[in-house]
Amino acid sequence: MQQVRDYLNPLVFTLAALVVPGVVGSAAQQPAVVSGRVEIGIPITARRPSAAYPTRTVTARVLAQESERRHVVVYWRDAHPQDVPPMQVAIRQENEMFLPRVVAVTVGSEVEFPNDDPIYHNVFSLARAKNFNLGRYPRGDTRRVRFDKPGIVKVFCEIHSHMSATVMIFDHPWFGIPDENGHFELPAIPAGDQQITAWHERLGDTTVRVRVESGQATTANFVLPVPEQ
Amino acid sequence: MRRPPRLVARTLKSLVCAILLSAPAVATAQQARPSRLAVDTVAAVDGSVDGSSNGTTGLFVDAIVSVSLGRGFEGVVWPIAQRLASTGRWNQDVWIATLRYERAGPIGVRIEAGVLPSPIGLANLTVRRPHVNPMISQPSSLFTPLPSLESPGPRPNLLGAVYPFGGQITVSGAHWDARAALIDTSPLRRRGVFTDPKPPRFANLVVGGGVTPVVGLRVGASVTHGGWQRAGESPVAPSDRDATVITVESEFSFAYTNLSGEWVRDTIATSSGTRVASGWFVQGRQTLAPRWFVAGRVERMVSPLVLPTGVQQERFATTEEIIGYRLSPELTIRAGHRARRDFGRPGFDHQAAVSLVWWRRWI
Repeated sequence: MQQVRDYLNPLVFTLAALVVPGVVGSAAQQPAVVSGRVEIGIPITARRPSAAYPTRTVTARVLAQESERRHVVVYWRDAHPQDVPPMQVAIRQENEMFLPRVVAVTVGSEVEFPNDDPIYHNVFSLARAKNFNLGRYPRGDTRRVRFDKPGIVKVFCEIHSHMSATVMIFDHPWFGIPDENGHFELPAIPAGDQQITAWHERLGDTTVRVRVESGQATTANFVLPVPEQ
Repeated sequence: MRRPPRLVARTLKSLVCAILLSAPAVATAQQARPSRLAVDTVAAVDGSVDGSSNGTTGLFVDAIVSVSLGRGFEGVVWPIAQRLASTGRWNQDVWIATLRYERAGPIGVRIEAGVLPSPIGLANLTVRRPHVNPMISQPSSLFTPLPSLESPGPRPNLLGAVYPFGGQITVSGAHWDARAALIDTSPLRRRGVFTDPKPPRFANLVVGGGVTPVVGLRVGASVTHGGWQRAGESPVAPSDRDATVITVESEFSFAYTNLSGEWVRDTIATSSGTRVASGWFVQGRQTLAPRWFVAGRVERMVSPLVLPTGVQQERFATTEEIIGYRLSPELTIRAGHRARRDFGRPGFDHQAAVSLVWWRRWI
């Protein structure tokens, strides 16, 4: 069945390209890679542990030095749902932080939540796209969650209020997280006027319009929260 | 020539982008910095009705403000405002105002001074904020006076809701913790910064410790000794009197279950000799589903009632069972039932209660 679907997908896409020219471009036009760079234009602060009542034990708290550009998800805003292969990613609980704090996956993917801390965490989410509560489990143990609906899932720790992570679930392949230097590359997008969005958990959505020329690599740069013109 | 406003705006936007891209500040902005300030707030409303249809409503609003001062130093302030369900009176107070120093390591050290989080027991440390308390009510031992130990004279609590002024040092390793504190208030008598009553100040020494044999299980104990009653506070108190408070507490968590309990024993010097009061509570919470949970608490106290004709043991008992639903990570609604038998009462009074709690971490 999967093989049949693999054969049919390009056919459906080609037919769609013929009958919906405004969306996916004309049949003669070739899709093109969209790449660019993301910069964070304003200082970002990270939540630090805080409690009226410290626990009776003094725990080590080291904030992870992760680039804020790794907390951005860039995606093609006008993309239509497609069958996409599932992914396997992990969000670790380390030094009372979720690492990485932002992941982007396809529908049907599983995200693992290993506990690397010598204390309990209690990972949960009450998001519409997926609600779950993994309970408490010790260091070395892990739990998995499968995400079957597209959307944004905010993940928290019931014990540590400063801990949060985001799982973005897409039903298409046109998304990506920039590298440490801010570079990203989206798979080939049909030619035409397209909207590319960079999402950051604090700064929200920033969308730019780009003209994707047939077969030519296109650049979309972002300075969040202000889009580059 | 005047430029059209849209063109000016676009030029300005481009200029801002160019500056942001070229300025060194952009490079530093790519790394998040821990915020200097941390603020979270709670607002809670609860209502209850008893068997005679008498209703009460309580309100509670607070904020925890923490300022990082660098090099391990932190200032923490916890102002609260509450409308007491029992009397309808409003209280405004500061429960914590402390300067804290923390150094992590194989042996972690914490030193704090000011109006402290309670160094004694578990109840004061775990359930005073509505969003971390799995129940609607708090343990009665914090607020319910013991029967009169001498007449006339002040009625102490088994272990009051005390946030004392003083200093505390805590050290801990991977499987143990120990602390010592010197405070200005007896844990038997509540003292507020802005609210009355204002019992006399006494130096009380607290030592405590605990072991954590496995993650999720901690067993701890503490001893507090110091004055509780000033000479002249009662016609039958010609000299200052001391009290000793011993607590044993434990917390146990695994998977979707969380259990905790505390046992308290007071040895109180009075004009007619030494009196002993004791009590305990056990509470549990079970997560049933991501949004649903149930919780329960059982509490007992035993204390002497000193009468001209002799001494008799009075008993106090409460139970509470609740079911909770999390509307969102910030909003929780709870409904439950309480049964309470006060000191000297033959039977239980029953109440139905509901509460809505909104917690938010702002920074």
